[in-house]
Amino acid sequence: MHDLLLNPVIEILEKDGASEEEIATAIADLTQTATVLLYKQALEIFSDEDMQKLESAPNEKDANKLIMEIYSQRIGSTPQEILNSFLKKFVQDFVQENSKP
Amino acid sequence: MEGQTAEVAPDTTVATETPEKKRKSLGKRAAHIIRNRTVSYIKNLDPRGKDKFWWTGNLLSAATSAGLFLFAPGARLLKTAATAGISVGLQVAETAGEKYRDKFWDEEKKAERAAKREEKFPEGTSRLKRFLLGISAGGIYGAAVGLPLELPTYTPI
Repeated sequence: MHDLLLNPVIEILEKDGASEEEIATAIADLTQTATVLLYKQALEIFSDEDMQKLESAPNEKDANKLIMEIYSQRIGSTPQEILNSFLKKFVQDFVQENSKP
Repeated sequence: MEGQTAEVAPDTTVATETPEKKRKSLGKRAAHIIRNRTVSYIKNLDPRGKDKFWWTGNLLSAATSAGLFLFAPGARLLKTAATAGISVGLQVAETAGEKYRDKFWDEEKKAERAAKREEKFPEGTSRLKRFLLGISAGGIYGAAVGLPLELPTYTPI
């Protein structure tokens, strides 16, 4: 997803006079929001059995693989795809709102 | 005379700053804030002892207003856009994961379940947080600065 999708938002903020610190904070806050969003969904959708498997996975690598598998089975989308939808909608709405006179 | 010339010499730092340099500088600052603030926020994200309002509504609302859009005049617009993005994100997962979710569960029940998860599966929830933070941080940071973001692996969440 390293395609500078957020570039239009950053450019608008720069034009609005936001400092580098403020833009960096916005990027961090957006990250925080997206993580909370994904985590909330996962806790609602993962079964107890899924969580138990995750709890007892031998290492981080296996746990990560397992999470991807559960996402694929339960949700049918990867967390990256969900994040991408979130970001695209965010950018689209932001640019649209700011294009108004 | 030489001193005078040096004093009035224009600062060319800004003028010669290329978009790439600017992006790197922004990336460095954003990475610092993500590592220091966002990582600890997610680490302490624990629904135990919180009510349904915290878990379902205020949690997301807090995340979107926690200092995210303090600056004007784009503040309101950014917040509106983020809220729209959140609802789309929720919709994507909710529609797809519907058959695995108990549709008769109310918000209170969901909040209770989330709290029980933290209690019963401390390592599992911690792994889940770390993984999802990695996905979000990597995706959003990349979409902003075009570079991958390495989060410290030693940070226990």
